[in-house]
Amino acid sequence: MEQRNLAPIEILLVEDNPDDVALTVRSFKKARMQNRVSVAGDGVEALAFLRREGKYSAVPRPDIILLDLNLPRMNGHELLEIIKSDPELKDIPVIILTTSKAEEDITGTYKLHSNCFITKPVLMEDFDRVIRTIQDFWFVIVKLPPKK
Amino acid sequence: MGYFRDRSLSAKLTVLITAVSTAGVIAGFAAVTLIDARNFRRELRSDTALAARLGAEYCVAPLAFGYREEAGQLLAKLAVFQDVAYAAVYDESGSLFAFYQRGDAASPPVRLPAEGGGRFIEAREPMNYNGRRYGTVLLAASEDRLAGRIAARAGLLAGLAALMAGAALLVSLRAQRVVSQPILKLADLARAVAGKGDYSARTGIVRGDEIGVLAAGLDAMLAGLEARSRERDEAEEALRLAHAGMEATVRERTAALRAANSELEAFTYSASHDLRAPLRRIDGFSLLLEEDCCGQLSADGKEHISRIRAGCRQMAQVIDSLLRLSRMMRQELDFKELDLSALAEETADALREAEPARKVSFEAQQGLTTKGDRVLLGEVLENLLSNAWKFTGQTAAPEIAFGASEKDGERVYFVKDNGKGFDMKYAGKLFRPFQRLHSPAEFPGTGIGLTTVQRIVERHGGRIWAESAEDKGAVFYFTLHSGGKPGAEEERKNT
Repeated sequence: MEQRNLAPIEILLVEDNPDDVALTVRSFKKARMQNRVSVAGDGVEALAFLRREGKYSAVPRPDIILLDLNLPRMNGHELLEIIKSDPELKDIPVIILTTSKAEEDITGTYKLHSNCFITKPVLMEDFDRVIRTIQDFWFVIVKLPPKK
Repeated sequence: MGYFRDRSLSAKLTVLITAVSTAGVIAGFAAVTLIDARNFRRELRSDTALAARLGAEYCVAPLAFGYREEAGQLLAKLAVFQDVAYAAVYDESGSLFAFYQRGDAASPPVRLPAEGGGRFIEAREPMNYNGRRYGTVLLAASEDRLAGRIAARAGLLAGLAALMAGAALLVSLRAQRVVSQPILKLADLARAVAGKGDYSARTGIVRGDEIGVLAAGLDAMLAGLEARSRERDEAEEALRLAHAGMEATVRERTAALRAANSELEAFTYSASHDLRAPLRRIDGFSLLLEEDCCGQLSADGKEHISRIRAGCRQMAQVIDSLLRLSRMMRQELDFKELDLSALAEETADALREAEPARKVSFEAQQGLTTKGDRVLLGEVLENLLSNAWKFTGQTAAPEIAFGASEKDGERVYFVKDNGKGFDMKYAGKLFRPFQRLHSPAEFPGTGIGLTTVQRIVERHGGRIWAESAEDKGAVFYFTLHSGGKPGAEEERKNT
């Protein structure tokens, strides 16, 4: 992880609600590690970002994707299925971050090989703790594939 | 007698008629024969006496003059009396003088015998002439002709008896048609009814005699049975319809219940998402306000924000416990052998860890194993123990105990504390959702925990109740699997 100190962690947040985007970005800002959060408003936009299409031609490849399930145009499930069947993208860890606690969402996304499922806590202190845990887990404990 | 009892009715009638008629014939014949024999004897006696008188009249002169031959000829004339066996004249001294005898069957004795005895009917007549007695006439008559007549009568009797028997047979054949056949018909009908249960059959016999009465009785009985059978069929049909109706009702209710259940699930989902998401924003932006605009806010403004955030915290807890209750109600039970004692110890450890500053004595009875859903029963113990933990918060030396006792062959678990307790008059409200017996300032809580506990205990086929007095601590009792095997509720739900 020493080699990461110079470059910030690239995070793609796929979330349609601007309030939620603001709160999540805010939580990452408070986090210990240097990071950069890019935002896509729906599945189609996220896919364009990942494949560096159109206006996203110069964007970095994300180290991790935070995915909301309820999205306009292409929802989280569909996007997840495409990412996990694309050889270029399937090794990027995907964390499902959603307010839904319904069990259907959990089983559905694990079947599509999501790497992690986290229910966004209602209270901000709890959410900050979750974001810290994500960083610790994925960038300290787990060794990610080398950057391409 | 047994043999006779098992004969057919017509055979009995035949025997009976034959016996009675034969007895009648014999009795009649005997009477006639007796009278006839008496008359015959009387006539024989008087004939013999007359013949003896005639013999004495004719033969007195030949006897007086000693003409034996003449006397014999005269006696022979008595042969016209067909029963006379012999006729004899004896002289004064009693010696045989002259005689006549029919065939060789019997001959007169040489001396005049004493009166009486012998096998013949006798008549004696003194032979007098001009006042002087010369001798005696003896006449003997045989009764052979009477025996012949009786023998002839006996033949007649046999013929008559045969005739009577024939007549009896005819009568019994007729009786067979008139009596036996209808009875056999009745018997066949009764057998058919008993065998096939067809109560619509009728005898079809209309008569004024006893068989008619019997047939009418049987017909009436069949009519009654038919009516009752029809009533029963109608009742069964009505019952079947009612049952079908009930099944339809049950199906409707089940469908309604299922719809209500899926609505509940939809509610749970929307509560999960739609209530949590806005609440997150309220809490999140309150925090941003607090952090970003700290300099611009007055002390009152900061106080307001902290109250908004406290409200959010409380609402988040309520939503989470509602979701938890909903999940407990819907989740499939996973029955496994588990150690409740160990589960209670784990829960108590977690509580101690959360509040290390508090010194609470906790004791759990060891080895309480049972079958149940580990997650749900963990929830039960967590709720009950954390309640005990919470309500001993103001107690000087807090003590909590978990254990079980046998009562009426049933294991009753308990969680006991020496904390705040509650007034028993509110015990009925204890398990209702959102029902709280203490102010949130004194003891915080959502008011859903015990509702969840009760639901889980019930899903394990048990009951829960509590005993307490204010400031005297509380005991919560619960059973599992009382009255039925575990998982009975699940089986009911799946059908």
